[in-house]
Amino acid sequence: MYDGDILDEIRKRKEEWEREIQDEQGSVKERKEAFTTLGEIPVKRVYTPLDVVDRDIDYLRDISFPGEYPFTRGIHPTMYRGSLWTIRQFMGFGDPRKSNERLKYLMNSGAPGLNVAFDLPTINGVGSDHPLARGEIGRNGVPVNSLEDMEQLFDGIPLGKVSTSLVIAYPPIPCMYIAVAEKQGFRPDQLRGTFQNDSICRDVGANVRVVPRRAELKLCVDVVEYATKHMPLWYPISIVGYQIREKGCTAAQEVAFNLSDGIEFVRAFIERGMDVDSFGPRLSFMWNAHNDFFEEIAKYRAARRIWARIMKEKFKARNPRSMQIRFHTQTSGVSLTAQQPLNNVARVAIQGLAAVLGGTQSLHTNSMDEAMALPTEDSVKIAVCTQQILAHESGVTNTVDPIAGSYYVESLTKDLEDEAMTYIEKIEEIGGAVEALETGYVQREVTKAAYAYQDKVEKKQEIIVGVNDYVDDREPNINLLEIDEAFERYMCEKIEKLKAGRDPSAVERSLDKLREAAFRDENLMESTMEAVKSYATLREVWDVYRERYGSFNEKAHITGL
Amino acid sequence: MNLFEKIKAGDICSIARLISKVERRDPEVIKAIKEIYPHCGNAHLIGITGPPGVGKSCLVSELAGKFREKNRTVGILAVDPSSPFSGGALLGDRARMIELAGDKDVFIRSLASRGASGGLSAAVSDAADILDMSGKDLVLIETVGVGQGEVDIARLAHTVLLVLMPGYGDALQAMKAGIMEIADILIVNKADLSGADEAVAELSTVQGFQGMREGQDKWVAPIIKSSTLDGEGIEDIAGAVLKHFEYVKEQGFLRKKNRDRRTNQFLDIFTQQIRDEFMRLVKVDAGIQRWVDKIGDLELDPYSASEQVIELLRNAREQERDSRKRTRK
Amino acid sequence: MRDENIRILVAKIGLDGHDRGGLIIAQALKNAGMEVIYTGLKNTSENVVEMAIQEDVDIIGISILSGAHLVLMPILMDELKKNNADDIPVIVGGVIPPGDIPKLKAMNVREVFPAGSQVVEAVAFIRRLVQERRKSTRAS
Repeated sequence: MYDGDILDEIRKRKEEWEREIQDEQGSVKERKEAFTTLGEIPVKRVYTPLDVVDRDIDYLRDISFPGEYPFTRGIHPTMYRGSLWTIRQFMGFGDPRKSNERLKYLMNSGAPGLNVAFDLPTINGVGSDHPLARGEIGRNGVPVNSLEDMEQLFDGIPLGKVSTSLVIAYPPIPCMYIAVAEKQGFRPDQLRGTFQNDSICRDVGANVRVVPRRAELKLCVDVVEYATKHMPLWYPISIVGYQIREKGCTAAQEVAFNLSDGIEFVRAFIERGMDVDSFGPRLSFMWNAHNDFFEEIAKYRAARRIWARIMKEKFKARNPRSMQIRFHTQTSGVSLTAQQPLNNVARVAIQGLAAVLGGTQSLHTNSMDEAMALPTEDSVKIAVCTQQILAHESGVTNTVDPIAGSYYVESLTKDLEDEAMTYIEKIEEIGGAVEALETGYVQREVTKAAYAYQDKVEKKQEIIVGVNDYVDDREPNINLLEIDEAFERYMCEKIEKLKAGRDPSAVERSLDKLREAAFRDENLMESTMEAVKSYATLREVWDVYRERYGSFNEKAHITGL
Repeated sequence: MNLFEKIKAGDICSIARLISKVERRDPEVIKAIKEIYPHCGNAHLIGITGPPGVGKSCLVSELAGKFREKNRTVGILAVDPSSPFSGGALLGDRARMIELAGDKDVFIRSLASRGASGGLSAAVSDAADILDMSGKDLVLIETVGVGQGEVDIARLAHTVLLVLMPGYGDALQAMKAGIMEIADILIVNKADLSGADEAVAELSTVQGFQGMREGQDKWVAPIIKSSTLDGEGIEDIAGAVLKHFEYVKEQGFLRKKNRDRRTNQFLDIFTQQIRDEFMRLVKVDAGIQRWVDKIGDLELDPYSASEQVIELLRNAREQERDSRKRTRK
Repeated sequence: MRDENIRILVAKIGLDGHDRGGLIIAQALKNAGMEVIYTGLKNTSENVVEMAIQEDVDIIGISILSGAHLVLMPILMDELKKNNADDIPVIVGGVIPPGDIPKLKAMNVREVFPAGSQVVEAVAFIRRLVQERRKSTRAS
């Protein structure tokens, strides 16, 4: 990018400058001895063109133009000049009917992308009436025990006309969604949206495991295989780095672990007989947006570059769309503080800005009260407005990838790429993402990083405003959303009522068929679809899966110790 | 009920508290052990050892479950190392035994090694006695097999299981000197991983090179593949464990094993007590203090010093014998 | 004063799979010289109480991030009482709204460490509590 003479001149001037700012002892007084990113990458006092040139960063090869390989600057040529990202707020709590009201509220407040979270009993395939479900029903998402709940959740929302993200894996819930759409008169090929459907991210990030790891992977592949045939507008998997980052890994590790997750799935799809370019353009990703502004921007750029190369070189993709990372971003939940919760509005704005400058396709901004409880409508409204302010007032959407060419960011992007590649290669050596989980390698790396960070906070090497410095002892004064306790009983009774009212022989027949399909190792989408349409409960369907694959051997996998 | 009766009746709280006292080497405990001692000797003590990460805890859990199916009551002692820096310990073994929860005939206790050499402290021996007396038919003692630990467990347990996994050939090379001789059952765990058959072959080769066991012991350690994911091999291991116990009983080795263990236990306690008593004397007796100082000032070498004390003990014994003779006359 | 091998049970109850906090605190307590018995995930209150008794711990630390604390903690505290083990003090950490702290304390939870709490605070609190408890049990 620069010719030799100019570089020599810059190098000379830089050495002079370094000398000029030194005191008599030859040192420079600064606040800290060394500066690093949140992920412990060393940060220099100043960056110059030398950092780009000396690291052999080639514009055409490594950065290139927006919409062109390796997509460092974004996947669309015009980015937000063409269309803005989708405001997609994560939602789900309490009764399916209540969640339905909140979905409609969000649609009316200018957040057109629906994004539904399910509660722990639903995610874990046990349902509301299981003993372990106590206290968890409707708390971190909406409970869906049967097609009936799904019908209530999307009542009055035309599924053929919206774009929906369902934060859950495996066939049952996707089948229920498709069944509701069909009842509304829409075909699967008309539906737009995303199934999260990533067993690996839930496993390592949130310890959600139902059946053994290989079987979970198989169930996710079933969904993708079905959608690749019948749902051309749908993204059947979202490969998620969000949760593992929340668990405490670094930005570079988030890239590495999540792309290894992606590699594992791509391998599984190919093994199933799918062509890389049949599913490649329908893969989507999800990242965290954490506190270190530039490191986060560099993270999205590095991830795009690495994935493009993996898909092209390792998996021989031919369609450029197969090489692109389309991604959703959610701002970091763990970075929010229960102390002085209003401060979280500022944190979320900075994190959201990083995601936008990093080229996200959709964004969830957390609400300020999420460190304490489920968000109230008022706080969700502020979070949505934060995105609208970023989109319309900040001016950052006027040009594509405005941050490119920053000596610091380009150098940091390379740092993240190098560190992530080292991890990715290590995981490949172990035998892939699932194997790396089985051996506990990933979990140990994450726990180590989380502990190191906490240690820095304790020693005040990292300052968190209102937590370990600038502490304000006044009680926070915000309203929190509470969940009605009688509601747990209500959800259990609802299951009983459903069971009393349905055709028992139809349920039995459909579950038998599902069982046969499971033991023949077929794709379970069609047979699961039939089962949910007969109003078999979520738990009944999972019981068949468990019968076939066994339950996850939880005790064999105490992670992170 | 006093403490002794409570433990005999299997009262969980009392067992737990006494083990804590054993761990602290609380002086009260000596009294309790004296009371317990004659009632021990009914339990089959099983040692489970092997390198970290081979899945010992899960295997212990599965085995315990299997023994429960056979209506045997089970005690489990899971030993993990204490940090030499902080003295703290992270005891995660019982998290892998969650399937045994709620069974009143299973008692699980995690123990930190607390700096005891070899990872298997005197406390473990006492804790095993407590579980023995509380009526547990089997006591499974899980310990990280590094260094001295294996030898310690061989002294304590009637049956020793060595757990390995595919790809642990190198570890075996490093350990085989002592370990192969003390193992009564060899296990290749995580047999669902590739390389299990190779590991079995490797083990039988090593076993082939090995000479006869000590004395008349003709037991040939079986090599068993296991997987806690699908339960493969667990029944076989449980069977082999019980068979081995029958074998040592029939051959008359049980008595010898118990005697050896108790002799060693006595020697450990005796050495410790002699040491403690001597250190106490040094503090209160100026004469002894001066004598010890001589060693420090290089006037007396430590070997001669030790010989002098042993000589004193011998003389005392002879004097006593003489005085007994005299009184008899 | 040296900790006389404080034994603490770090437990997670219910379906909540977020173990970052639990693992960090377990590691930190170990580094502070304590013996930490870590229960793993998805325990019932019954299991936790059984473990606490068998392990004869000085204190129980529960980590909850799912918001289910007001439902799950009363069950745990009851279970302790049923087993005559309510002399073992209980502390809670996790995502706990400020308004819930008095409610938990009314259930005899000794202290609550909401998200963002410093580990050193928890270590100091545990030491103090255990020393007091040991003094009183040894005196009695």
